[in-house]
Amino acid sequence: MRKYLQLLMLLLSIGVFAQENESRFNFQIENKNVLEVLNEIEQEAGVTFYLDEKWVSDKNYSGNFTNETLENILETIFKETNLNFFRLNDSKIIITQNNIIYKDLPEGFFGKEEIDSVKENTNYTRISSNPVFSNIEASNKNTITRTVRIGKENLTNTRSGYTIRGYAKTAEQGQPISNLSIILNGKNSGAVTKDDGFYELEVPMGTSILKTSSLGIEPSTTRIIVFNDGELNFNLNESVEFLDEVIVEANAAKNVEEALSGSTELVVEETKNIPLVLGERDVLKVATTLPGISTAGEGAAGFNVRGGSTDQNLILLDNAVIYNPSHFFGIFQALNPFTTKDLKILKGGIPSEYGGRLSSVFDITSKDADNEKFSGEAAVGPVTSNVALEIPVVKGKSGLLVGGRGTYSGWILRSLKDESLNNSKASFYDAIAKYTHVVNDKNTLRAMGYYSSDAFSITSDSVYGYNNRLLSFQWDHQFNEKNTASLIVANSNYEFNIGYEGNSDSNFDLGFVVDETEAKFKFTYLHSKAHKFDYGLSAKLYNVQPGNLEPNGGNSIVDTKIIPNEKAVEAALYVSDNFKVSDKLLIDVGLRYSMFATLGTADARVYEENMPKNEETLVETVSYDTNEVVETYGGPEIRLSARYFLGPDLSVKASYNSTYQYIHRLSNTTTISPIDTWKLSDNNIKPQKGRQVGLGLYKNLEGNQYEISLEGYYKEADNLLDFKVGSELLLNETIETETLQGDGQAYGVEFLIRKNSGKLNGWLGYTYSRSFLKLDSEFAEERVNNGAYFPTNYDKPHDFSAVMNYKLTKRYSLSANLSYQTGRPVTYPVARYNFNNSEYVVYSNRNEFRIPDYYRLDLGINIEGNHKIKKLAHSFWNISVYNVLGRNNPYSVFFVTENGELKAYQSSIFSIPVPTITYNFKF
Amino acid sequence: MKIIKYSFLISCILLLVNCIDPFEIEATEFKSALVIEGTITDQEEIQRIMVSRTFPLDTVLMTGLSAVNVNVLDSNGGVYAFSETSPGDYRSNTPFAATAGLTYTLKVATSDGNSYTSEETAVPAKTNIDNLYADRDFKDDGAEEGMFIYVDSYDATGQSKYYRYEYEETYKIIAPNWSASDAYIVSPLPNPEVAIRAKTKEERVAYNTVASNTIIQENTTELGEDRVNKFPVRFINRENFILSHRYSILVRQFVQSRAAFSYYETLELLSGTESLFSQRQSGFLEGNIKSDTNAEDDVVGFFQVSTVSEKRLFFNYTDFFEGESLPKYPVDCTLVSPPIINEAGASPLLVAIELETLKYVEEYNQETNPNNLSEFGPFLMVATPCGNSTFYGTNVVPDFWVE
Repeated sequence: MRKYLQLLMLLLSIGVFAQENESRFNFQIENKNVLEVLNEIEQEAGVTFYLDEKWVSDKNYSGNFTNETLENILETIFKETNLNFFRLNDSKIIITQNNIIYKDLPEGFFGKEEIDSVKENTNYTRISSNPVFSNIEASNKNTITRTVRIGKENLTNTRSGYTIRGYAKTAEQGQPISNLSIILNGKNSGAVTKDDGFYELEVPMGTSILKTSSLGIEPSTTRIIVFNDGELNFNLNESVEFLDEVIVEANAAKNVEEALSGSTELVVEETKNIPLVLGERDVLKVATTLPGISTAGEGAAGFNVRGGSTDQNLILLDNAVIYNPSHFFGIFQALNPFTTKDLKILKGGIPSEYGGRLSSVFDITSKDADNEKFSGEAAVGPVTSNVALEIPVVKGKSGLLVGGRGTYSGWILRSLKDESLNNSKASFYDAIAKYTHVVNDKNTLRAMGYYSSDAFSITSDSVYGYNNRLLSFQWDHQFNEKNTASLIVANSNYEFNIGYEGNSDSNFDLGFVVDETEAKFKFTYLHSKAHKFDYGLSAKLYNVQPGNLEPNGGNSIVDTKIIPNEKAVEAALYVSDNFKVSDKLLIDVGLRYSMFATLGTADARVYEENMPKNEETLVETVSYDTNEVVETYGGPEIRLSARYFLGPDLSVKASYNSTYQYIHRLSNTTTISPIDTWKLSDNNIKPQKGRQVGLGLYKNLEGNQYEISLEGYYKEADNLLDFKVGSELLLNETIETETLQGDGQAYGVEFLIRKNSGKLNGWLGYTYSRSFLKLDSEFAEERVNNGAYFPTNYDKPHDFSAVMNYKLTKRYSLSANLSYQTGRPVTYPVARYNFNNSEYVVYSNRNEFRIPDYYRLDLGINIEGNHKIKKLAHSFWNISVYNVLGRNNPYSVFFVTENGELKAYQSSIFSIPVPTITYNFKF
Repeated sequence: MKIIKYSFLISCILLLVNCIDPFEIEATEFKSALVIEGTITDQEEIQRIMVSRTFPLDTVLMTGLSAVNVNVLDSNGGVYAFSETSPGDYRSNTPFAATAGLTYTLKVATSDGNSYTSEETAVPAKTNIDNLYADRDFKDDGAEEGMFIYVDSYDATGQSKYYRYEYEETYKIIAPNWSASDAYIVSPLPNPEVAIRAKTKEERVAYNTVASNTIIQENTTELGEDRVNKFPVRFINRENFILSHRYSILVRQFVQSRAAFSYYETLELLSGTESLFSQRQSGFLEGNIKSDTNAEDDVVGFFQVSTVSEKRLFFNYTDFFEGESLPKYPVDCTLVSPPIINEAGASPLLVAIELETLKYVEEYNQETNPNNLSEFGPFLMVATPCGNSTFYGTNVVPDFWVE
């Protein structure tokens, strides 16, 4: 499989070179294995053969060549075999079995589709083991146009049409030609031959032209003069067509075909025309325009997927978990758009390979560097500049991808009028390097390193910073045709720091770190056409430093406070069977068993059972030694998906998922902030559990040009983490006394229509969804809203997005985003009262009110540089205006008492139109 | 630490936000709810329950709720009826004390036909204040100096744990420019004439009593024993004039249930100004009283049964600040001498006497004008609070007052 892929890739990337100045060679071969012979030729002639060694391993050859061209030598050697060869260029020769590689496809192979609407999407390319052309030989014969008379003109005959029938056969072997189109010229009618080559066609009286065409068969034109029913046979030559360049889009119908529901892919390159704020191409932002994915507010970090909280998404960058994939509190993504290949979001059916988060998987893959030629891409925008380079290291074997991005956001802060921000600064950068080494056709190594950093100071005396560090290593190995495996080792580290340096003696440093290392073995076993098994195991070690407060400088009187480190392991075994029950029914049955153990050193606090956790109910504190198991959790997770074809382009899918999550984000604010900490499950905080059922209908129209999907889901979750009103989470050693764990419930319907090609492309998505939480307890202090279900902070029932791009010409395109969302729920004060000799306000039930609805329109124009093939660099301009309508969308509302009077304020992020110009170029 | 975190969040918002706009809270969002505040103590006394309703955010009018049927039931079947003494203020018809071992329930029925019941509430353990004492010290690492009022308490059984404090402070006020005489108007304009006569009521010394209005709580759960040690119930900055002469504080220590403790704690957090910017998750604070008739009908407030112990403390300014100058009197006591008739033909002196804005201090020698005043009259006068201490309190010596 991989072999073919490589062959085709090579074929695609490089055109056919003229074979001039043929060199001539001498060889003496005495009963040598063909493979050895080829090796010898490789060395002598300076060429490389691409072939499967199995084809020639049992073949020997003897013979002498003197001053022969390479072509002749190979022809002679392969004469007695079923092998063919194709000379790609001076140094590459592709050997094929049975098949001949054609340089061109027949005209009209892709219908009327324009070539520039075909997108490269090689990641999901799957080429079937039946190549496009089968067993046809080269022929240079010209098509003969013949004239056939059927019947004799008879003036007494009044019939206006006659039936002709016959067989189509190959001229050489006399094999029946099936699926041959016979078109009655100019009459919009015709026939297609059956499996045995038979056809039947109504033709008018008199002269007609019949044209035949089929893949691999030379077209023919036959003039017929018909005056009666009769027989007409076709003996047709097989044709040779040479490919120029074919880009295979194998996943065009994936939407309809695969078993997983609720999965979405975004190819970064395809998102470049979408207007975004401050010119940052941001695939994560684009993701939020898709149904089921939203954020708490404009510029808010984190994603809410199908009514799940922001900590329930497993965000992977080349297999390593990225805890905070955003810069500048969430306004920008921390991913370099030039090094990111694609983003796959799994929000419905989650394959058993993934686990540890309830709601979704964001699988972000970086590009593999081009190992043939040096290339690069750069962008200059108003906030950041960005560059990526692809550097071949060993030609044809390995390449290095490096990317870097930095901001000059100082001016943003300076341009804000607020005087309190005069001393503020903010900077961020991220860098990535990925090395891809194709050791041989059975082994590929990938190593990736990533670092992102944010630092900002708002007042002169404090500096805040956070950073992500990822390292990942992947070794793909193919044991044989049926078995492949990957070994993945990934480390991820997220930390934040607050440094305070004022004039007083209270200077301090505060830090938080979460670090995880995972090793994962993945195996794939292609059992048969019907069964494909994926199985594997993984183990992850967590180390969390929940909070360290240290004095800064000799004068500081701050007491050192260190919350004890947390340590745990999470392990999982998984297996799944992709089972093709019939042509119509495909099921994916997966089971994952995950286990989690909290390890010492730890002081585990034990509270009275069935009592609220607080100092009063603390029974004892048990000490555990290093690596001693404090608490274990675990259980089976079921992952079921099924697809059933209702029609050729229409399928229905159903899925059921259950998931466990052992690490939780602690946040008592309504939107997430970079100083939210993460907490591992322990003897007091139980893992979150989720279950989701989904049902969807998928339809592709007009040759996969349009994808339509309608999906519904219902989710339940246990032990979702929330916090008591007014809890203090940072540097809190007894965090369990502040937490509440409750049940979640979410449901929704998502509709998406997506047009992938043509002048107008883009998508429209609409989601109706609800998300609720219930925090109930027999104790009032652990109860919210009387223990009834209430809307979560990110419950936005109506969510509409349109992302559209219209190509005016090949160089100019217009794009527009439109989004509308119901305002998110908030808690308002609703009354005042006197109590304890003071005045207080009554807050409404949690999230009883909503901020005003959100809507925004962005417009952009994209100008591609000219399309000359030979030029130094390819440039791309993007001019866009974010929030054209200048809508003042509220981000949050808050209440301040000023001189005893309560005042309400709303804040907004980008309340005015923000114009941007960016310049990108590729070289 | 708290402050840092909040300022961070504030800044975050400012940094990103182009615009913070005030907006009107719509009047329709008013939530009318019953408010009940009641603490039954273990002291044999007339017990008190306050019933009111919430009022809209844009008004300041608080009214008690009248015609409410208030009863406290004990687990022995005892019923203690309450009667309204003033709107919203209900007192038990007879004195009674909460008895250890029993549980108490509050029942309230309003005139609109709704009734409300509290959770059954047990009587917590009883712990006396062992020591109530004052000490001069610095607060916030020297930022402020003043008097701390400390409480020591110890429960050997370890049952009490959750303490709430209320206090009533009484201080003596001495008018710095008191005179035995008052000026009065003999004849108005156009022929103004003034004279002085002896005061008829005490205006030199007064006493003022103020109840605490903040939530003061302490718990001993993190300690090895149930001991409250040197807990600062009250801090008074040395610049505060209430310390000037003699000061007394009555501190009541309530031992309360943990539920009550956390109710007050959260109430304090929600009302703190620092929570306003942070987008902290706020919400309806649920007490322990529920509507019997309509589960949707939220009740604000808490009914609790507490044991109470109280102690009183007196000290003089000189006990701690011997030889040091007194705190500044709350108003400026500069002596003035308003003319009886000025160039405009008005009489500032008569106006001041009539409106009682100034008080007589002494005669002024208009011949020599010893104070070199630009304009003057027959008397030296001073702002009323400087000459009449009853401006700040009552001249009735409180029953408990001990010199």
